Amino acid sequence: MEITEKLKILGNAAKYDICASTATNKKHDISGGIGEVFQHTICHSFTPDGRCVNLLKVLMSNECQGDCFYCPSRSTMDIPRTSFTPEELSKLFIEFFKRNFVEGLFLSSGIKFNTSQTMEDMLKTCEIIRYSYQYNGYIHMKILPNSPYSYVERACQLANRVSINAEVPSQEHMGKISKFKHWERDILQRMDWIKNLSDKKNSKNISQSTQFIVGAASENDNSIIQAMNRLYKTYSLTRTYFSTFVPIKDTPLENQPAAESTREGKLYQADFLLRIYKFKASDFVFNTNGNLPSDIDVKLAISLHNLQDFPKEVNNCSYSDLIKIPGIGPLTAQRIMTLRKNNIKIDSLAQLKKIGAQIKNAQFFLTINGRLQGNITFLLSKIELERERKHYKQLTLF
Amino acid sequence: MQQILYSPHASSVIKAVLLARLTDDYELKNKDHEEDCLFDYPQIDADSISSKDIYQKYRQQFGEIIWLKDTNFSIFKQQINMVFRHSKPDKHIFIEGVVKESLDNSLQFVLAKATDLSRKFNNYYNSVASDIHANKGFCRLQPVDSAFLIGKINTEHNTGDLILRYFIQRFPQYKIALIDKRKNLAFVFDLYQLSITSPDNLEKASTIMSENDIYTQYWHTYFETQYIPEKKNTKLALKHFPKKRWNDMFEADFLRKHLE
Ligand code: SF4
Repeated sequence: MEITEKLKILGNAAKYDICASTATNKKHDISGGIGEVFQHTICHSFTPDGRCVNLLKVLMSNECQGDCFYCPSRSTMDIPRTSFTPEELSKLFIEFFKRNFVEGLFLSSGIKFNTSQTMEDMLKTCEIIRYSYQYNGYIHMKILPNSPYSYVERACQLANRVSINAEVPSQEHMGKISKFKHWERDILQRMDWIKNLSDKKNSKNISQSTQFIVGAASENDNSIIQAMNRLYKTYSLTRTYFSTFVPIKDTPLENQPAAESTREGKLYQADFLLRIYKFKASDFVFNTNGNLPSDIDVKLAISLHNLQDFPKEVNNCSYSDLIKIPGIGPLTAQRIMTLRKNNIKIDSLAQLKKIGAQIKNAQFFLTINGRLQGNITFLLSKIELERERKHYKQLTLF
Repeated sequence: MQQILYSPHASSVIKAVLLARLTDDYELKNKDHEEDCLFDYPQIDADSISSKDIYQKYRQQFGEIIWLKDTNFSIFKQQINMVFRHSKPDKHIFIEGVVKESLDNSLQFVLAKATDLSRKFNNYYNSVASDIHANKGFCRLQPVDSAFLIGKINTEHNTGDLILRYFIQRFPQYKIALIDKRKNLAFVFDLYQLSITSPDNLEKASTIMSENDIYTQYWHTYFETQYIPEKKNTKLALKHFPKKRWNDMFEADFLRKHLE
């Protein structure tokens, strides 16, 4: 098959893997080599869906022995199948890199004959890129479930980031999307190896991320957040990504409804609150179905649920209290602390706005020099009114 | 009245502002605008006096300059150097202004963007930084032979040389030429030397090469596969990839087809 055809099939099959980060602390230092890495991401293009395209994100092969019920590449599907050879893919990648089309490689794969053989092809591709083409830039390599330890170890040496998809929050949920994958044994155990390898000489600073498929296993946001929290704590993950389940024709889940489109965005908010704002998994507020409320901001929902903790006085509360206020993020909180250190007090909402706070929500949860800035009952009735308006609109649709 | 002249870099303008404080009747003037002056005032060139001497005199008269020891001082200097590259001439007002403000208040005060002036300074800094960042990503290179890459950039500010330096580091064994269409200039690195020339022949060569380049065709194929139509989000796409950055990229045609 021509490279163009392979690219069409294997690029298309990889596009739902969300990760576009190229930030890394892990450096490769091949003298005179091409490419470099940074602690920030550089975007090279954007598609009309607003997503950044900065990685050659492809599958090594879309041939697969797997049975994942949601997957368009599962073994029973009647679709065109193809694979790159390591030589083809490494050459293609390096030529893309030289033209500055991409910042790095993101390599995943279906399980062609067996896990080991597929991992060998993926590793060989990365080896050619690193050592024949002397490439010092970014590589993100997927670890296939059930990969042997030696391959995981080699991947951690060659790549800047590795990831293995958690997909679901527990083994019980895994049973709903696959008969052959075991959540603890095939996935979490590899995460544990990666965590331990990240301290070793040649793998130092390797980062690992993971991805959940939202809505494929009838799981709710609560269970995803609890699992994500556990994975962050136990395996020191750098990031979690979410991909909304969409039913695919001819798969066992073809009649299962797609996940609510708002869930993915809300889970990203929750992820930020866990990682950056240091909220606890037990802080989140859920609807009766265990999902995050879809109609208000996740942080605002937490604050409204804990009104007894507010208002906070901006001129003397701690940094960790400041970032609990809706509309105040880490950067603004840091600026407030800096000004305070220099004996400069915040004296108005306008000033707060100028240093970056979103006062639309913040005003209801703080005082400035002891003065309340907004009436919380006003905010509550506004939210209530908005909910009623939406409810009425829905009724009139029928 | 005296004029204190400074060059477009942080240490020079900082020295000039300190000197101005030590002088009664003065006007600060950047060397770019030296010739604009209608009258002949006596001039002091800040670059002709050492930082050490100026700091010492300043300390004797006004006391310690605390922010010289601040860990953020190097960030501040870096920001000033970037703002000097902004295309608007009023950048000098903001640069001089924030140096004065940091003396009157504190460096933290300026870095926290607590005043209108420091906010404007910061906006200029962000604009220059995002110009560099966008060009690093959206520049397309074309291999002309095994050790020569030609690329196209489209800079809003005076940033061409910085973008070139970025690619030199990325491709250490290569000769590199970047053509800035908007400015009609080419920034070239060859045999360890940087130069700025006219882009004429280079541009023609790179266009012909890329039209026949198989890897450019592969890129178009690949790029199209990455679009998820069910997730179309025009607003987000234009926010990240505004029309002013489209240049003559293939991706722009694709976006135009799907967004308009
Ligand atoms: S292992 Fe599962 S998810 Fe991966 S390609 Fe095969 S069927 Fe799809």
